[in-house]
Amino acid sequence: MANRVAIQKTVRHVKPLISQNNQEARSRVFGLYKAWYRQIPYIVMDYDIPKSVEQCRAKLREKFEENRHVKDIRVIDALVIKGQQELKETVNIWKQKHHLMSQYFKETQEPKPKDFLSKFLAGQ
Amino acid sequence: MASLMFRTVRSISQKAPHRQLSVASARLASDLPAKSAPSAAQVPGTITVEGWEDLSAINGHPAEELVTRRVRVYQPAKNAMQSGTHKYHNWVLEFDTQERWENPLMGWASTGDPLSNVQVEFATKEEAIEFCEKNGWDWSVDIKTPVKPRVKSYGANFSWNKNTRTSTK
Repeated sequence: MANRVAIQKTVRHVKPLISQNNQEARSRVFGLYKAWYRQIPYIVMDYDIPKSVEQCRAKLREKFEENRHVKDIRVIDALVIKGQQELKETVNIWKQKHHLMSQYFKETQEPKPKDFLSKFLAGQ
Repeated sequence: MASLMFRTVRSISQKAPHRQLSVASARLASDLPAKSAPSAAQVPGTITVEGWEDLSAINGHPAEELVTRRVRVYQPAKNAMQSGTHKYHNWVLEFDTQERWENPLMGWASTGDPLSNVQVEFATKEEAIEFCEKNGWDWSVDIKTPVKPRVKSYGANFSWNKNTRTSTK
């Protein structure tokens, strides 16, 4: 395509969501992590889920590690905002037990078939 | 026939880490940096970012869709009837066909894919490509081959120098 040009890694000035720099975004992430970490015992008690506090903290860590690769400050801010919303919904018991179990632990979710034979047997 | 009618352009990148380097899209004028160096006269309260945003972390799509889905960008074909052409200048983004089956008894068409009916319209293909890149989807663009309209004239059938009836002679 003649009118396609390879993207240049151009630098732009854009409006931030909240954080002005990396350190600020990082501290927001840590703040969110700590808030979740401290709430987990109460969440486990209130929702009566069949998980221990340690398991929930491991899951919390896992969820944060999933987005470790994100570098854009605005995306980090958006993720933190979403995490705060989730925390608020959880702490205020706007969720129910199965929301936590299906959203985070996914024990009843069957993994999608990956190799040829299991895909064939699943009718794909 | 589709393969004859369209020329397909694919994104070169297959893996997410290389995506940013090989993105091919024209930029919008409003997004282009000023002609002067970016360091000059930064508006207070703004931050400096490099490249496009990667929205795949916040757009809510399951992570496996990034590797299993392919997005097709194309211009819809004109209606063969005498309708206007107003609707056919857009570029349409649609996802590949997945999880579709036919009911063995009644022949009903079904789908288990929530993205099967998603069609997003864009004014230009560059906007569509940019949207795909921001969301981390693997895209391909089908470009219409321009068709030269054939001159259809009754009078030309009787002309001495127009070879309109070569097949019957």
